Amino acid sequence: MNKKLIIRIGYWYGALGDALLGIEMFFSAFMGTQSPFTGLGLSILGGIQYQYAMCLAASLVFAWTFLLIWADRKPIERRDMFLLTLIPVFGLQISTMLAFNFELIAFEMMLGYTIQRVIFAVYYIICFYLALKESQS
Amino acid sequence: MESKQKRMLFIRFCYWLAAILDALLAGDLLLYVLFGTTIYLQYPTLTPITQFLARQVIPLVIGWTILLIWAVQKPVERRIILIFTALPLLLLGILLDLVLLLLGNKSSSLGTNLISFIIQMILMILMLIGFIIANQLKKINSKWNDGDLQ
Repeated sequence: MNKKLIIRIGYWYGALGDALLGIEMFFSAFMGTQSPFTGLGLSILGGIQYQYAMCLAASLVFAWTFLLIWADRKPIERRDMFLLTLIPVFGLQISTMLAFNFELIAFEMMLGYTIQRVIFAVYYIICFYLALKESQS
Repeated sequence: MESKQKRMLFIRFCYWLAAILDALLAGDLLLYVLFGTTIYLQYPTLTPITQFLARQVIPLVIGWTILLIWAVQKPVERRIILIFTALPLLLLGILLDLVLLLLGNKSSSLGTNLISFIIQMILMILMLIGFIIANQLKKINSKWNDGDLQ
């Protein structure tokens, strides 16, 4: 398989995931418990109290989508984006584990997120390595 | 040359201002998670749910801070980060805050929103100006390079 294609899939994988998460968060921010996506993504619990903070998170997630699409335009030169994306992913994983610890989410959900993020992180590290090798050759 | 240096200084200032404000926001959220109090956000409630969300936001805010610091290493080449910070992020933040305020959300008061609105507006304008200047510098650099080649 073409190395550049693997790298570009990495960017689009992240961008699509982020875009879907952003949409889900916007619904949660404005509709609270009425959101059709409650129970999915980051908004595991609906509620008016955190709508304000949810807006902040949604803006960040949405902006990151654009960032990944921008990186995809020059996939090799902008390979640093792979490592930069891993920072929030790592932080979100810690948060998810703490949420399970405080009994806010079920074990199955925590496990699901963990598996998903481990796959994502491994794929991103591979993409960064491939992009690095490609830039050196 | 001197003017070019001043422009570069302004662009760097834009990146650093946003990065510092972002880091302060992360610190404020961290205070909220650890001690249930905030300086800037003035969150009225402290529940496990709001704490959970604050924990989710912190890595995103820290990630963006690092992104800005990464961009400032090559301020002209990575000028798109200024636009991404200004338009999707700050503009969206302002609009969403306003919508919540209009919806009468308990967590967003006029006082808090006004301060937040002013800070975000100033920052957004600065970032946009920074982007325009960076774009001009890029064009000047390209012309110089073309001139060298010819």
